[in-house]
Amino acid sequence: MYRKWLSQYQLLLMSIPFMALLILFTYVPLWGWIMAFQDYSLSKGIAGSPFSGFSHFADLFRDDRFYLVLRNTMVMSGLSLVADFVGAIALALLLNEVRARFFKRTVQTITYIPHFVSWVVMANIVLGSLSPDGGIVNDVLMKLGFIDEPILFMSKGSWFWAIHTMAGFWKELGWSTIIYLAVIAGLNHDLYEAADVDGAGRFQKMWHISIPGLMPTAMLLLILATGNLINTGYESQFLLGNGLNIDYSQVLDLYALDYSFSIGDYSYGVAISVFKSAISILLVVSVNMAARRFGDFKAF
Amino acid sequence: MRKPLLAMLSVVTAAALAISGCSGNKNEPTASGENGSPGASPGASGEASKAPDKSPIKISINSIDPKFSPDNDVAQKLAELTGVTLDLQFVVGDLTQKLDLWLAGGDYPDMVVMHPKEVGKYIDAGAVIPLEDLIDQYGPNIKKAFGKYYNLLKAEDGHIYTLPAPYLAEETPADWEAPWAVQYDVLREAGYPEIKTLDQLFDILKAYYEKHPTIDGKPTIPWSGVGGADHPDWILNNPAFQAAGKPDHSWFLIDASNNVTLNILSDYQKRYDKFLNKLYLNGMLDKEFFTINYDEAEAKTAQGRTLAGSLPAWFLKYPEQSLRGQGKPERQFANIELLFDENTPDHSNTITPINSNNNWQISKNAKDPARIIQYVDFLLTDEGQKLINWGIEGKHYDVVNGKRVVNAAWKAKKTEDPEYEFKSGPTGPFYWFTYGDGAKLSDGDYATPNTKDYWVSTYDDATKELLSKYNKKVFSDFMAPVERVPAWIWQLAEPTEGRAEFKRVQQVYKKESPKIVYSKTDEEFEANWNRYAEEIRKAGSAKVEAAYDRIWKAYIDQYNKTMGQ
Amino acid sequence: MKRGYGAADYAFLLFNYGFLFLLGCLTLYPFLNLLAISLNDSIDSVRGGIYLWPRDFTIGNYRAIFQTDNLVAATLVSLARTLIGTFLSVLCTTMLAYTISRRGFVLRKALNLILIMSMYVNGGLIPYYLLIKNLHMTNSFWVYIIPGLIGAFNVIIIRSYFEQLPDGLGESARIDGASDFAVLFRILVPLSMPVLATITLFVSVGHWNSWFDNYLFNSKQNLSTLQYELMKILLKSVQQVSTDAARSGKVDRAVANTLTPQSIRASMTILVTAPILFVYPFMQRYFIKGITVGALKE
Repeated sequence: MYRKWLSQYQLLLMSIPFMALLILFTYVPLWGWIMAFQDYSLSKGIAGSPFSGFSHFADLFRDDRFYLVLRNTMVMSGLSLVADFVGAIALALLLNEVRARFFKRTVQTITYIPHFVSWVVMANIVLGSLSPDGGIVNDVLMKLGFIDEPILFMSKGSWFWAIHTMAGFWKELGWSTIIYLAVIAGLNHDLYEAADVDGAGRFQKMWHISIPGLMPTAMLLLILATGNLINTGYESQFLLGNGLNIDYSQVLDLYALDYSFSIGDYSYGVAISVFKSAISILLVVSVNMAARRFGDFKAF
Repeated sequence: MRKPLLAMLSVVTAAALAISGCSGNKNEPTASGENGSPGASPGASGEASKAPDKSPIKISINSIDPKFSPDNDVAQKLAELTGVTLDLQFVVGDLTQKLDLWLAGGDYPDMVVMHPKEVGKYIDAGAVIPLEDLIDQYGPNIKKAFGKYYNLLKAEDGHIYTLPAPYLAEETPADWEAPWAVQYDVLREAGYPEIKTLDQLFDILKAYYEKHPTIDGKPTIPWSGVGGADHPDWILNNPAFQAAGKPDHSWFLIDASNNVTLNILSDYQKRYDKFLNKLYLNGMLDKEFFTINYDEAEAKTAQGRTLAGSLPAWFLKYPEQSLRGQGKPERQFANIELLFDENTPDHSNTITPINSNNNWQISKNAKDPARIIQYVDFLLTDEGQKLINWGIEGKHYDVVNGKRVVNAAWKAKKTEDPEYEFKSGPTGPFYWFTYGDGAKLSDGDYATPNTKDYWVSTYDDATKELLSKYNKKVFSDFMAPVERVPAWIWQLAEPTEGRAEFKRVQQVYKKESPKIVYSKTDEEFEANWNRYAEEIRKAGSAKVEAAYDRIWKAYIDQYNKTMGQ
Repeated sequence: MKRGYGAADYAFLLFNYGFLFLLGCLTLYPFLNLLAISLNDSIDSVRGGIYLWPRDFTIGNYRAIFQTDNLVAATLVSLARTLIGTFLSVLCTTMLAYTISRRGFVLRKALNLILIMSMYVNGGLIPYYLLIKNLHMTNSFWVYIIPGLIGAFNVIIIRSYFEQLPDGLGESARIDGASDFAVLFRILVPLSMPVLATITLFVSVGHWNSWFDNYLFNSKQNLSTLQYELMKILLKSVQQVSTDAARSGKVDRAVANTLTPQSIRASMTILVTAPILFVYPFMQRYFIKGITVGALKE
């Protein structure tokens, strides 16, 4: 047994130190989760704060607002995931079909620029465009005669999901495409040439070479992303949200911010964090198992 | 795309930054004036104080204002006179979070500047030290400055931990303004009427709107507001108590027996909602009233299309500059005082014994707390006040005919280059200890340059003309006479109970208020209001009121004892 | 025999170029808009209406930013952290990814599991802060580099890529007596340029843009990163501190060079994004078809 380990000493050398670092910075701080089971107070610290068992979790599950917020979170994440996924792959394939190098590179560079624009700025642009008071969307719709009165987009709660997803899509599409382009670039060139020799058309090449070539990476990213369905962050929802759409815009991270950290109730916030981790892991494991069984892919 | 953990954290805090960055100032009068009882002689004043040590020492202090320059002229002069240099540690980002982290890790700076609501946890953890003995020994001027209010500084356990700024002005600071903004042009067309109530304003707005449905080709917006999307208290809660002539206790009303109730459940709120409803039914309310964000509100106002609203002066700063730049000075705003009814007693203009939100505490990391007390002591003397408010004589101000006047060359330079004021002038964390605008020093002259004369010298012609038509010198003249109240409830340390309920209540308020304002009939209005009130009660408003009632009454107790009543 | 271009092909090409062009315009808009605002007088921008072109041209916004002290030093810090941090991170990540891509590796399953789980757990800010403090990394340059050295996501991406390369490559080399290091660096890495370039891009952008760790751990001026300094500038304009200009809106002369938050945000974004836009096209050459796998006949 030891002989096997010894023979792999180089691999061990290349892995153990780095894993140690990762474990140090990611797993060691998890002792903080104990705060979820205490009535943590900053002044008393971990050692001095009284134990409270599962009371914070009970509070969480008893709160009606929690379920609403959870629904919003999962729906918006789900929509973004699908949009991003489909969009990024489609865009990568389309860009791959472009022969003119300059055009291809330029478009690709341009599409990821919004990724660097902060949400504060993007939200302003979105809100400005949708404004009933001189916003471009309303202007165009009225000029084309589709509507008589400007639409108050941001007042309609149920539209929030669509608006948010589209805004996020606009912002992140280009950046998400990068990795798929990299994968396509790495695909075996011979395959395409052989297909050409066989008289394959553009779409046939896409279907039989590009897409299968992308699948492993795409599946991997999909599985990993599923685990993050519950982690939406809150910046975009906060900036685009208001009193009229709050029932659709409030997500779990925003709820956590409002009801825990901003009022100094760390325990509640950590309880939510623990809950989120549990859900994430559950999701990732389930999707991984499904992918293994049905598609022969796996992340682990 | 998934990013490493740190990047995810960065999104979270980017948001926190965005939030904290957007929160600006509420209705709090900007952290200016404090009143010091005049006449404390500088430096050692015999009796119990020791001769001040002037050897150089650095004191670390946190600062959320990156504009402060640690070594401008005044800071250097202070270092010369007291030996103290402030080592500023800027906190760019969420201050509360940083304070929490410091507390957990024990590496707070020597002087921790924070809002009263944060102090509690520091006191509980023993991170800040009691100061009364040190003040007895080294801070005679501190005691003098606070005068009869000195014992108000004591926390629940009887020790003093906080050094706030005393506030002893006897008049309204010259740059304060009433909350209701009306365009100059609207007033002009109506013949500069003396309006006192919201309904009167409604009438002249309606008249103007009928004559001018568009301004510069774009639709006129008779009534607007700022904060629709993220600060609903700016557009609903605050105007409600302002119109009722109540002092600014943020979300609360305090009656004569010191009982605390939520303003948003009160008849005043209902009445103000009705006023907005009237505007809405007449097509005079901004379509985006509840969804507009700050930048858009600025843009609309700067386009000159907004006629009126509850628009605070700090919000109007850039739009009015823009309007002047566009050559439309008549579209600037007069901030006037309005009430629901003409005869309501107006207690909305108030000042308190203590006037700072961000107070100084000395942490246990400070190696020489005595020096800090001596430093603050010096700041609260006349000489210190002149330095931190006016600056250095000859450079920032001159004495003309026995009165202090801002140096013209310096004024020109800092108007040209806003940064210059921070690089050279009397700005820095120490200025928090100013006696306040409207206060006077022992020589009878004003403690700060913020005087009526000064403001008049900065007004443009359109403004001067408008004011002259109302026989006023500055906008603060529109306000009710100033009164003293024991405190504003938001200055006190927040109660620990009822916080989650308070958040819930605020969210109900944010969600349900638009429905009330958008009611189509009176019956609908009543129904919406009742449902709203019911929801708020269900969310736990009673607990919130009880919590704040408790801390307020406790404070009043302390106040009365201190005042010897 | 290669197919020639038929009608369907031309239709597709038309659609593709057209669509991509439209997409490009749509995604370019925010940037052009910000550029216009950043080159427009800040007070003039307040009333909106700036779309693609500045109305009142000025370089005052940029001038004001560049006049900030410490900006040059901060840029150097950011540059140092980006170069050193990216290099070390990509190196270590690649090595780790290599090990767990080897089928017979004893720790393969365990490490995979640990890696993936690590992406979904978070102990909170306070424990993390205390950890860094206890390691004496507060107020140091290395706090920028070390905690973020291994990004689990990056490891997995590279691992997946390695796994897709033909097994035979590594095998034949090892049979010839090559060490793991040689296999990795001489054989696999040259074949993995696209994915490595991608990860390098991700990591370097992360370093360039980060300020949160600065906010958390470093308070010394000489350790400030560029983004952090820019945030300070933004905060300066947002803070309404009690000075004359802030309190009153009625100042007579229009204050020249007043920086509004909107103008600063716009200029900041341009300043931070521009370098990346310049660097990326150079990286793009690694995305072109990778080196043909010619060592083995399948």
